[in-house]
Amino acid sequence: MKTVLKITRKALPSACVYFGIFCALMIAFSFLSGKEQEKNFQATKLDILVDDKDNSILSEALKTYLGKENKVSEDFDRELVSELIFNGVADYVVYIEDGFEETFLSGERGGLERQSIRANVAFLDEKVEVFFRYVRAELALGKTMEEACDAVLANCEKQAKTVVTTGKTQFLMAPGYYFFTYLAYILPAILIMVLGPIMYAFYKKDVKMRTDCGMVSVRKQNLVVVSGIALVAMLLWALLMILGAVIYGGDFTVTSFLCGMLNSFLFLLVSVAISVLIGVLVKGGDALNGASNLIGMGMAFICGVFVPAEFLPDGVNKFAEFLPASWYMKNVKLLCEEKSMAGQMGKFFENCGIITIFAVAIFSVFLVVVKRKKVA
Amino acid sequence: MIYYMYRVKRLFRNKTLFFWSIIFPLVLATFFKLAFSSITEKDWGFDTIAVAVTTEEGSGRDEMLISFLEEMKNEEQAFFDVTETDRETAERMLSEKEITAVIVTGEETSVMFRENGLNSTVVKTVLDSYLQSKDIFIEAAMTGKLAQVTEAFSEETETLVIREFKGASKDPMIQYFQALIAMASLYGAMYGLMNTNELNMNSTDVAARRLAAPMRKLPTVLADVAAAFTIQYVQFLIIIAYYLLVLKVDFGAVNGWLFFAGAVYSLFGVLIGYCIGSVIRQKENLQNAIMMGTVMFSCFLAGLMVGNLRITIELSAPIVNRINPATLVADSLQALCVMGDMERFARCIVSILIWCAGLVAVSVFAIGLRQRKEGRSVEKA
Repeated sequence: MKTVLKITRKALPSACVYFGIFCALMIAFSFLSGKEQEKNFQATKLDILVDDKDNSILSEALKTYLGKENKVSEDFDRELVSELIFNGVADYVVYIEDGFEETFLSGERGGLERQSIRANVAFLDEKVEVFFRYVRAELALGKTMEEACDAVLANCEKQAKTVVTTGKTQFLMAPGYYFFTYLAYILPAILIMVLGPIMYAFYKKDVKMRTDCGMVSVRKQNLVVVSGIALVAMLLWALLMILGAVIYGGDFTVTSFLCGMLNSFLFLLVSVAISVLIGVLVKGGDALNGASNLIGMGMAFICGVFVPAEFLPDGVNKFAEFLPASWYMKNVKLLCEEKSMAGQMGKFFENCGIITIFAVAIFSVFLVVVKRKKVA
Repeated sequence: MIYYMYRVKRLFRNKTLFFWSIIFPLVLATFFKLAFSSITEKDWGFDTIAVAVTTEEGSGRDEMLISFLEEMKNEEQAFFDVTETDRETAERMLSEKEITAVIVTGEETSVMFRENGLNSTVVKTVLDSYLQSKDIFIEAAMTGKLAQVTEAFSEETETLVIREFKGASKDPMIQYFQALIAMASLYGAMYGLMNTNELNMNSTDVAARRLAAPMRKLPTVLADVAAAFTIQYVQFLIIIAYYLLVLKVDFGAVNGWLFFAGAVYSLFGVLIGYCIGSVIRQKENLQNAIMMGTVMFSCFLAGLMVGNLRITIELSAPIVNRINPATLVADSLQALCVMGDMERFARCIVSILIWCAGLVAVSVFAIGLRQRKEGRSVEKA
């Protein structure tokens, strides 16, 4: 046991790096996250930049019209426009040339352009065209430009009644969601770095042969290694759970947090199984570091930890079902999407069962590898 | 030349360096491709929105609204896929996410959504437009000017002109791949570091043997730099080929300047390693930690972990982008391949070359200082 803890202590600096990454990710996303979804309708506000060289009644009215449901700004660096569009900082840029109002009144086209790389802003194009159609109609009623624009803007207040019928209260953006989400990345990454060296040290051919010749029975040796690994894994899990309960406990009900703990515990078992398997398969710290990065990050990318599964291609989502993190993430979504777990328990335990099967399967592979190594 | 060849072999055979400088960026690029390939399409693409229209009991079918919704098109693609059905079915379709909204017509037109979002906003915006148009027609009818208003509405005149985005790539996710090239290039520092450590007698046995060899030191150093540069440049070419031929990343316009830029990036990475190895003559682990920390922090600022960080920094503290090594690499790639802005590309490349000159100067100064110090120690002894 002493040896196990000694090796663990050596691996602590690397584990701390991952722990630091985990904390940084959680803190960063906590800042970005919002509160539960509104029950009322909230229009998605697009970021619109307007370069108005006309400063006419019509151009001012257009800006007010667009600004009613979007974020309109005229304060931006004209040289950076392409960068702002490309990086998604600006969704839609409107260029109003000098003399636009006169061009409009003369019935010609020109003086008004828009730029965007989003295809789904077509509705905004339509909205702008509708605005000018209204202005034309109001002008046709014999109004002046100022009166026409005022009438159009006043008419915009007329809106359809909206109801958001969702029975669910979405917590997708709550900080607690990110806590359980990033556990799927950090648990295998840290455990491979910490448990890998233990397995490598104990199951290295020469060492194994030497210890087998000693007074301690093989059974006792295995018991010590298993208890050492269990102790280290449990300490890590307990530390993470305490951290989660203290910081993000408020985002969950008692039941959902307990379910989250169970889910993460099962994923801990999977991570331990992966770590011990990697520990006996690879040689040396560098290889462990590589394996930790590849497995931790690979699974996280494919299973919707870094990028939500809805945004991943269907093929990737299907492939992800062969990985345990995907089932863990399904449970995390259930925890965070549903305020009450009551109606979801069946699905939750079904996913838990699949995670457990993964743990057993990987551990069985580990036993086969150890047995083969011994025979060899 | 022979010395150079042996050095290339020696560097190439180091498995750890090989993993971090080539395998890791390739694997990461694959993950980026898997994870990000659908985001732009799903988030920014235009899809027809499915809606159901249902009529309140006792009210007639709103034909005008239905034809208004059905006729709305973006180029040739319809805005809406309209299903007319009863309220119960419509609500079931909404709860099963088959449709985005249920429009209920009657005395008062209303709309039901399952959740907020851009598609819901589109439905709401279009419906509002319809209701507002209705009001204008009612007012026109009351004032006896229905004919003029109908004429104004039926005019096919379009006011807005679409200005195309000039960039050669329209996928903002490309910035992750640019930052990844920056990371891979700066990882060339590992080869530079290995070279300095294998020329420092106190560090390794290999260094002691090499320094004892009857060969002038300058050609040795130059051959080392050339070998590290060669490997790093080949790795750059492999990554670019992997992006373009295997992952088929929409990297923008690729031309000869990219290969020149790749050579500059490779030299830059190697020289960073030389500088760290020359200034910090402590344990190898400490050198590695400082090198990796510097590279990763630089890449973080260039947007490797958070995509929009580069533009955020550009808007708040542009000076950071002018001096940060990884940002200079990523920015020059963006200027060259996406924006076609050769002036910005030249500015970035010149900045990198200034960095290179600075790194050489610092390395030479650090080595000279140490040699003088060691010389004095020997004299004293």
